[in-house]
Amino acid sequence: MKSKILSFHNRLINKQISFSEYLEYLKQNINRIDDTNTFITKTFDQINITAIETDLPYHNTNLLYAVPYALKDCFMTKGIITTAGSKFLKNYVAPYDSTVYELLNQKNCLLIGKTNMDEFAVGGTGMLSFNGYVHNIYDHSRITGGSSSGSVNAVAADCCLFALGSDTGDSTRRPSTFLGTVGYKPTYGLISRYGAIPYSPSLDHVGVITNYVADCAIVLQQLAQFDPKDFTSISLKNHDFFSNLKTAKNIKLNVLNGIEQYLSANVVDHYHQILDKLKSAGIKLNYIDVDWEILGVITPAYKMLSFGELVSCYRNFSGVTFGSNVANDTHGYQSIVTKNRSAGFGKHAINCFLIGEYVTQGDRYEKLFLRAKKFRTLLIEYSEKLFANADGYLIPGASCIAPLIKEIEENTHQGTLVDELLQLSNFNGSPSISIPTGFVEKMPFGININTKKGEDQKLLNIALSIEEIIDFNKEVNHD
Amino acid sequence: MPLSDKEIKALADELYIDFDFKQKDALNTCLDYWLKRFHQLDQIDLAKVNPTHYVGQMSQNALRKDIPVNATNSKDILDACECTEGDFIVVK
Repeated sequence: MKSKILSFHNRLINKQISFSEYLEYLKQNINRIDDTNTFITKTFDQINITAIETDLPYHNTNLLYAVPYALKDCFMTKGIITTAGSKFLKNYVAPYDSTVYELLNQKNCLLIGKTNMDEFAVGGTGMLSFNGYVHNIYDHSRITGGSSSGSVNAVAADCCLFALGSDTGDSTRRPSTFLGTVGYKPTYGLISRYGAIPYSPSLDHVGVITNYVADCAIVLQQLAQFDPKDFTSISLKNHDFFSNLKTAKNIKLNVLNGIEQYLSANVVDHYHQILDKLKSAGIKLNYIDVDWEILGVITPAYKMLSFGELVSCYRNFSGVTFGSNVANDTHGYQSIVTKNRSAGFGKHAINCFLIGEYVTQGDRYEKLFLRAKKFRTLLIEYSEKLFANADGYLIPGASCIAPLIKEIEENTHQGTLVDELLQLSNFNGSPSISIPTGFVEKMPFGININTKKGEDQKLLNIALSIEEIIDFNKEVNHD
Repeated sequence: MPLSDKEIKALADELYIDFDFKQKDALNTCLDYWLKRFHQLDQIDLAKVNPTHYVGQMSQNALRKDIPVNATNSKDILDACECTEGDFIVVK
């Protein structure tokens, strides 16, 4: 079982490395990718190296002790700027901690920085932050995908041992496919979202980004705790995800017939090679027919719902109580708020707000928003078919390798239904993981695996088995 | 059908935003694309499908309800909003 966190822990405990040297190595990596715009705030200088090294002997059994990590800049961190990729919050210092940050602090994990992201996580490119484009570390002319763009870059570039992102549609998993990392979205409610700046609360999840599946299980074991501060938090009797991590036996996965029509030509062969490799290793692949027309409504329904919820979440962004206040020379509450919001929000966010307002206003609430909710129910029921008679289903992690920035700017790149399929697990609240499978035209690519809601352990075990079969990391040699 | 300047202005006013009308085409293109795709499935009869409700974690200000200052958990807040677990609240 490969694990960067375990490897780091063992070397630190056995004094094969010193923490200060390791931190220096990470700093070099962070500085080396400065031109990719991965970080918004760097916090590694705040780490008390002496205290970490002094306390080390008392933490032999804490696998997360002194583990450096990065947070997407939508998680509240008391005393540290939290921007959510928006000019509106560019100087906002959070007055409280998000639950995930608190839980990681309890284990003495070390925050090395807060990462760049599409504004309010509304976007899938990494090109929509007030802080500029995030460039793919493998090829700077390409996108990272988003919205957890910086977090994925940070893990892929060895700037930290794991990172947290958010995942409302695919924001942790699709960029992970583009960067060769593991991107995991848990069952809805398994990781608290308290203190995470929302996009669409009924779809928002916290995502975990790592190099290996085992690392993901280690982090999840600490984060999967009931939180009374999150309405949606669930409690599990057993959340020992790492302790129970083992390769799965007799795996049976559904694969979608006809999915190749939605893949770019250069990834079809790779996808087939991976399926062949899995079959050769004894994984049973069950080819099933699906109704692509019904699946075609995933994203239109997703947009109606998520933008409708988005506009609701940002009503209180006035710039008066918090956030950017640029209306010093303006009088009257409405004028002040209008000036602050107009100056603080990016163009894309404003367009999404307007669409959200449109679909929830007047009789359109029923015709569009409520209808989208019904489509959501329909899709959730339909997705049972994807899980039928198998442990889960497997799809490509994206329709193509990371697109060129130029293609996005010129609007010549169009995603396909494959990209949209990832959103189904946000509708379901079911766990979903993307794992790397190799390179296509020198760019990383991966697959995505899904199990039913609550079957996170099963998903991780299947992912571990596939990771060992594929053995992708031998090629990239992260160490 | 594209939104008129008047319609956009009304939406923007509702949101306390001065809309930059240079973005009008981008807005209309985006809205038009998603609405067309959404309506592609108009023939599907959803009469018997219930909209699934999901709990949403909303900020107290966004809820625009009188949340008790001593509310410390989700039940207090849901009670104050006259919501039950399972509802998702869209604030208008």
